Amino acid sequence: MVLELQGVCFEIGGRQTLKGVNLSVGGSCMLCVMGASGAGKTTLLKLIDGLIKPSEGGILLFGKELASYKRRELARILSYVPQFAPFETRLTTEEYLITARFAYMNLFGSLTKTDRDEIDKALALTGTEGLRDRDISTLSGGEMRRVMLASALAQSPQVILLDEPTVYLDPKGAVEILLLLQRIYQSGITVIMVTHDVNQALLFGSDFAGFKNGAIFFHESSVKYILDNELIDTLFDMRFHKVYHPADQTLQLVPAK
Amino acid sequence: MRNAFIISAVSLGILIIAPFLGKDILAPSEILSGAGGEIFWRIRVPRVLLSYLAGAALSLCGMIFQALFRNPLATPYTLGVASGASLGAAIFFVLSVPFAGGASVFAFIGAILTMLLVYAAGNFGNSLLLAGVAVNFTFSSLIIFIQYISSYASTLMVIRFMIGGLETASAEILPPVLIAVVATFIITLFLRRHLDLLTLGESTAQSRGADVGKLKITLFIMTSLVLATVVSITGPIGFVGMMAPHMARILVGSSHQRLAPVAFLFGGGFLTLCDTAARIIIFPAEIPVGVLTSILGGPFFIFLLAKNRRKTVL
Repeated sequence: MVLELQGVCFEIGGRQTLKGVNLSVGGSCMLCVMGASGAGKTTLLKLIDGLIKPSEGGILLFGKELASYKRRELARILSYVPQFAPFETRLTTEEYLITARFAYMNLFGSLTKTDRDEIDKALALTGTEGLRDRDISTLSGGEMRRVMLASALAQSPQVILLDEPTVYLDPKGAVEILLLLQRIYQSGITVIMVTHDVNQALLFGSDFAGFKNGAIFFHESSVKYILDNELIDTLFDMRFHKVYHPADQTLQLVPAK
Repeated sequence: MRNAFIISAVSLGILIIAPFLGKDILAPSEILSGAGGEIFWRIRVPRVLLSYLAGAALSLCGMIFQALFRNPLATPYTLGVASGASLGAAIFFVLSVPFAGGASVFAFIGAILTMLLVYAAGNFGNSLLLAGVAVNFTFSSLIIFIQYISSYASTLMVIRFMIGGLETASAEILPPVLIAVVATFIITLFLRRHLDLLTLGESTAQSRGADVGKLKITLFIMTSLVLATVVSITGPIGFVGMMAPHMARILVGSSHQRLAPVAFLFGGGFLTLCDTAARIIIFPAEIPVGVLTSILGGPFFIFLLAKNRRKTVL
């Protein structure tokens, strides 16, 4: 198991936002975490990234207690793509990717050939080589999302955590990101992504977790099972129509009036 | 790259030429002996070096605070080091303790105690920036109170300290300043990658492997020591520390690998230039350099901002 959460609770300001979450995530999968706002999805990502500590329960990463990793060790395994883009800085794309190599640098902060290679690889995979010398504050929304993904890849992680990677994107930009994530997880990296877009999740994900009121409501890999049991309807407390496109049978969940 | 090269050349040019300038412009042949040599080595060189080091230190600290707080309005004085030093100096002037250089000693103690107070308060409330602002307001009022109850002479001295100036330069006070500023510069260069990460926000910095807590304490101690050293000698010279790092950023970008050296050179060159002008313009009197930094720097800063309207700020 790559990641195991055992009875994880998280409490902030006297309110329990996660209530005894048990979750096991294997290697090479794309787990889409869904749920209404405030269900505890972002909290889950931050807990996995070690940015906050659970008030109860344990988290194991590759069988080892998360808290026993040093910050730098953790950064070589996990990378986190936040929801909000770093638009306030005037780093270039390349300089932004260099910050992703921090956990591999020596005291002098000098770059090795491996660092350069990993950065080049990440730029190539995300198709952002052309943006290398651009000031990131001038990127478009879609470019920025790809650069943020490139930066996460440059960290050479085994697990990538993403908080709404397709939010604010046009349909083409969103699909580009999702196809990239598919290639990434198929290459052996574990992708854990929080999303509000149920259709995107069911179309591109390999595993699905529904969070409701701070607890796991379902954790499934079969889209059919989720649909047959109307789990999405229960997750959001509303009715959806299942629509299959006549041409290629692509599934769409459409909110019912 | 071209911008960085030009700034380096201009800045070092100012540093080399400034000691030759003054009421009498000295020729290179005059500085080896006689009265010219005396003026050059004993008076002008220490003064120029002090102005350069002070400008460089203020600029570096401004740059660090702007990255640390992700706030373009942060200055070296945001955390209260200047009001602490001024309060220390004000207390000294009012007590009129008769020992030379006492103002600097009091100012240094005031600055260090203030930083400790801000750190303690900020850590409890988890917000250094707000603690700094609160201390700044409180101490400003205390200084006004002290001025109000004291004589005209000491009030004037307090005001003069608070404008900032470099008349106190001497060969004797240079070594501690030199050590503090050079050490700060070297440590900042080591931490250039850390500073890049901080501009992306604390959680990203932590996620990418930085120990943000330790980093903040390191930066806090380092800036406190160098600022207390500089400000206790020169008074709180304004504007350089906020403006110079922004100018440097506009010219060479946000990556601290280039930004730190350029901010250092820009701050140093700019303050030396202002101080040289301050010495000459209304000779034999001097314009307080803090007045000149704002008069010269303000319009130039506005010009650069207007020219780079589309570019953002950190």
